[in-house]
Amino acid sequence: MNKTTASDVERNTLTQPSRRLSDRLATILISVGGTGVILVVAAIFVFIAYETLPLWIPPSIEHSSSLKPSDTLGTLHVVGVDEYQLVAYGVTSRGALVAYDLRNSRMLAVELTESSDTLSAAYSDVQEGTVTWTTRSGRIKVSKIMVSRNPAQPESIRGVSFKEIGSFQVPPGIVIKKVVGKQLRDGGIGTAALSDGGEVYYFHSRTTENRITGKTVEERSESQLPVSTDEVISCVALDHVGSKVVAGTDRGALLVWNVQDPDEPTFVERTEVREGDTLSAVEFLLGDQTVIVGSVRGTVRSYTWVADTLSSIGRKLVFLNTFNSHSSRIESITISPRSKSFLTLSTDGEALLHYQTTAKTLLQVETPSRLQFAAFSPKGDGIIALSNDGVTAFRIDNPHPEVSMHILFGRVQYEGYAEPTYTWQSSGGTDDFEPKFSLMPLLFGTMKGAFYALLFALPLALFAAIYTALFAHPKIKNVVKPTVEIMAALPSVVIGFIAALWFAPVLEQSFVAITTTAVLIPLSVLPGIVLWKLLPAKLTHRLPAGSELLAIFPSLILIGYAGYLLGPWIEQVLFDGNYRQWLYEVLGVTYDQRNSIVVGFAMGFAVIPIIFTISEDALSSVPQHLTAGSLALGATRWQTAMRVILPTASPGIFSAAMIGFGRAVGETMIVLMATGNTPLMNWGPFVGMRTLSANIAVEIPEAPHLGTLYRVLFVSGLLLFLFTFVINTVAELIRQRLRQRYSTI
Amino acid sequence: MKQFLRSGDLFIWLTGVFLGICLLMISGLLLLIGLQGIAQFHPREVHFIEYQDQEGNRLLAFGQIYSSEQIPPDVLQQKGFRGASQREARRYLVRVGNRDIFGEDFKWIMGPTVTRDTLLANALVLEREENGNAYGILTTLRAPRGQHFETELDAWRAFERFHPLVRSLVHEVRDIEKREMGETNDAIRSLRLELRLMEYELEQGRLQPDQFQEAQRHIDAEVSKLELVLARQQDRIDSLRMHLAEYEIGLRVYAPEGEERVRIPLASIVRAYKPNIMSVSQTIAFYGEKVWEFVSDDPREANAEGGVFPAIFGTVLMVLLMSLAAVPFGVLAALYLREYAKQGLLLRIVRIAVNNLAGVPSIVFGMFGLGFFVYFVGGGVDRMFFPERLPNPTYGTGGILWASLTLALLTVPVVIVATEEALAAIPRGIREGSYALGATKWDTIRRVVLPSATPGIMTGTILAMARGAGEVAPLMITGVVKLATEMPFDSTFPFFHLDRKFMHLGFHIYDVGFQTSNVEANIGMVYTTALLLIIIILLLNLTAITLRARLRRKYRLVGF
Repeated sequence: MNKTTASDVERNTLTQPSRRLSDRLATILISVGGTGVILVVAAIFVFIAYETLPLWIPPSIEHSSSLKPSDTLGTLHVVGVDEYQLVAYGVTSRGALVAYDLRNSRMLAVELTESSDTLSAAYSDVQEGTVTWTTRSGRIKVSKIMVSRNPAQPESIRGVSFKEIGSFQVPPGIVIKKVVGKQLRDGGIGTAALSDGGEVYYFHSRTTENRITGKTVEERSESQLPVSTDEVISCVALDHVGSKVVAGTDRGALLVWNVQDPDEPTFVERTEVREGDTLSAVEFLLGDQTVIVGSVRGTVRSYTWVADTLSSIGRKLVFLNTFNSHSSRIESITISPRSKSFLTLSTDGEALLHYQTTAKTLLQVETPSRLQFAAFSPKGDGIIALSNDGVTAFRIDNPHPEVSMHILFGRVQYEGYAEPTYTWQSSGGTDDFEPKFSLMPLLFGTMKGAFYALLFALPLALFAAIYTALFAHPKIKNVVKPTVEIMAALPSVVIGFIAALWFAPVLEQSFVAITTTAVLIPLSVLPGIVLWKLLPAKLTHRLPAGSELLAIFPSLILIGYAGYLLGPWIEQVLFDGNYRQWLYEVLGVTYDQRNSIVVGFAMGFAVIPIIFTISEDALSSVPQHLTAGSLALGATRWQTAMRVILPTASPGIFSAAMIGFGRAVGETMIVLMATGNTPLMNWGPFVGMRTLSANIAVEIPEAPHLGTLYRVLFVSGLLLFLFTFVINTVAELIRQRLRQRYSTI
Repeated sequence: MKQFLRSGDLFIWLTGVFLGICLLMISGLLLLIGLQGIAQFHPREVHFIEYQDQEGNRLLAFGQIYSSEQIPPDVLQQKGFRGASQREARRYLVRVGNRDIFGEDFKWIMGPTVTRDTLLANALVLEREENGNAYGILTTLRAPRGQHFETELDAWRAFERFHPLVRSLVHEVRDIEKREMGETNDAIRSLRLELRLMEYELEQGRLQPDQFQEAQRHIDAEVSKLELVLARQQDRIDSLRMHLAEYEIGLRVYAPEGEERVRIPLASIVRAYKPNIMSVSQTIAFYGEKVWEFVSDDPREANAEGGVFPAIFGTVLMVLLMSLAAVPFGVLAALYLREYAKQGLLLRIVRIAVNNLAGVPSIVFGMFGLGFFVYFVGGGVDRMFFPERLPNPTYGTGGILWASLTLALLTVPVVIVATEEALAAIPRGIREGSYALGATKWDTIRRVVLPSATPGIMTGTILAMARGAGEVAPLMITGVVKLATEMPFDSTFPFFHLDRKFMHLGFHIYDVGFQTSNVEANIGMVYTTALLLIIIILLLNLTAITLRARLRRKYRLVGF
């Protein structure tokens, strides 16, 4: 259209300057605006892709501050840090509690307890800010750090103090070599202690206040956990609710006690986790469903409890993942209070950060000198490490550790699962819930929905297009095409609503009758033909070719009625009067009311118009002389259609099917309404599904902005975008080539 | 016959059957929605049904039959209705209403257990503001100054006299509440916001403390003045309410076990009618009234009753805003692609890409709208212009502006494609004629090309509007809500509140049909809303189709 460039120059000299200016301005404006619009449209893709990028950024760690504590109170044993990573605290070898300001190494608080007694073991739990330690004289203390600050400005610290929340005494003469102490969820204090001799003691105290009298009562209990093997216990762990104590032995077994009743702990199970290896560290992961086990050889593995009907306690420990090994004995395992991350530390000072679900080792924590202890910050976004040089604080930037390619597309064994599965379960009731982001059930559901839709729509649309383009009378054509356009314009929310609230119950009630009708439909040709032949030949000959449709309508209605009448009878004869019961008893399938058939029907209804229009277009634009030639050679209408027109137009029909498929893949409202939206992986026609698009619609309003779920949903959106875009582009290219071919024939 | 088979005519018939099915499905669907949608307003008769329970006790049900269905064979066997034949074995969904007294609105009654089914002439249906319909027989009416009407006839006459009066008072109360008190509250709120802004400036150090205290005193004084106004308005409402409470009717209702008498304040009754003795003209009038209520009123009872006016308004405004964004830019892009850009491979790729954007799932656009418009742009606007309101978002949450822009992106390809087609259809001779007369390119486009292409652009616009009006998925995440208390356009400055959330007919269907508990009661409403939406979209489409047909004819004549 733009062939006037050559004369532009000449004309410009003749036209008025104002008009020349406005012409120039318009050119600039339209060019800028036009490219702008196109760029904006392209930006959609870029933006969606950009939102998913942070998922793939590897975690990073950076040194934030360090301090050198004074040695006058003894050397630090374990450390912890507050939630803003400003206050570092710990217990020293002489049993002194100290707290420092990480910004300026200033000592904020110190509390000396029973000085001159040396520490034998210590434990730090950053989640509640507690430090537990035990002395050679057999005293166990649990203290909590209290940081008071200005709520508006968390950086300004008003004061730091320690509060003793638990104190226990080990039987005389026994030296504790490992201790675990926690403030439990119910407010009680639980402490498990392992002695040099391999005995495990459990101490528990809980202070309750009587609501009426206001008096406080302290319940205390201490007990030695019963052991029935001759193995030597080498490490011990306690969960966050005070119900389980786990210990590792020198022969690679895990022993589990139930300490829910602290007065009478009971031995529950013994599981061999590693043949012959001495276990050196064990710890519960956040959520208490999984334990991480480290051995003297430096290996790290995780085990989880799964339901087991054969076991007397209803569950058993199974192997979950192996992580990168250390080259020496694992000294300690500390867990993140916010995620399924944990940190392993070995004798040679190597510290590795792992993520349980992905079984990945994310990074290594490095300090200038040998690392002795490391713990997470309460928000899980930092690490505080204790080395020969003093205390070092790190910040870790690892916003989305729970996602990897394997998580999204592979089988993953989650906590509490007996085997690897594809599971989508993005949120749960509790904070320690492990989100499961497998896109496979959603991809599966998407494909299944589109498959059922095409199964229904493709034959209908295609044959209808063949009839309309090749056989129907032009007058019928003039009615059919606008009708189909109206069908295309129907909002999918209306189709979905009819499918779910009208069609689904009707189908459930008269499934057999409807199936019967569907089977009978091809037969409906017969009464039509009979009717046609019955009409006086004079009349039928006078009607132009392609008027068959007039006879087809009544016979279709007739067949529909026959199916309606036959249905109950067939159900009685074949399925004993109740097909749902029959399905359940004979085939073992349950019938969901909103199932794949309903979706296939509704979504098929939605894609029929597009398949019909495109294939009708391809068929009717086959050059006239091909048809005429074939008919002139004596071929019948059907032969011409099958041998000449259909092969020529087949690329167009193929692209129609592809575009229809793309439409079905992206359809949201129909699937949202007409299925139960359960992310199943089951091809069965009587169960529902959840598709990518419906999943986005359901979950994105609840997804926290820039959170992992939000980004994972953007990944699924990106997949949808790419998939439909590629399909449509290929289909469009095929159509363009076809058009070119038509013009050359 | 053999020849018939060989000729393949049988297969032609078969393909015809498939076309027939398609046509039957579409017409069936339209018929279903049409009939159900229209039937929603039909004044159903009130049945007085006596039936027996398992133990043979005689029970009563008094209400409208909403639907009936065949009893499944297994239920039939279980309950042991052996005497009943298949044909009689139906069960009826009866709306017994009086939810406040009986607890449930609907009741299934087994056909074979019914012993008596009569229509009482004076059966009364009361549509109420809340608690759904009440069914019963009018017994008394009390009005102020000791006016008592003790017989059914007197009470009904009195009802017809007093009810319009009472309703107008109710509307007055609502008007005071919504408009006058709303304005006062708005004024108070904006004063508080002003104060909050100053506080913010104070924190930022842009305001001196004494200036702030001065302003604070001033604002506090204003607020207390307004609060006085508010109290006066509340007083007026209270006295009106007190007066209204003096009107009440006595109703005889039928619990399953027998009669009960209840009192219902007249003010809570929206409409009362006696469907069993309605004449044809009364039915038509009733029908008209209901249709008018549907299109002009606010929803009641969690969207299950009343009208859908806010949804219609929201849909229309959203579509208009969307066209305002999509059409100019779409035309601009099409002009560029067709008239200015260098035709070549790159342009072909761009054209295909633009074409295919129409096939990208709408939910992906919605997602983009949420991420880009709501969180990125909206969040940025909030940080720039409304920092004092944070963390409460102003534009950083879904709203009609973001929803319209999202849909504009979705429909801009439709406009581009249609405009390009229209531009391509203009014969070259027309342009060349213009150039020959010395017109510049812009002159030609403005005076010759665009006017000729207008019908094509219109077609594209209308198709885009139709597509936009029917989309729901992207709206669900960019600003549509089930019940918007404030419209995006009202009488308070600055009149258009594009940050507000809105209601939408399509979402209304989804919400009422799928996110409420009482689906039986709501389904009629869903059908009617669907019918309305379909009518709007079909009208838009038919306009586009006729426009296009006219356009084609025109260019056949002009063509070379």
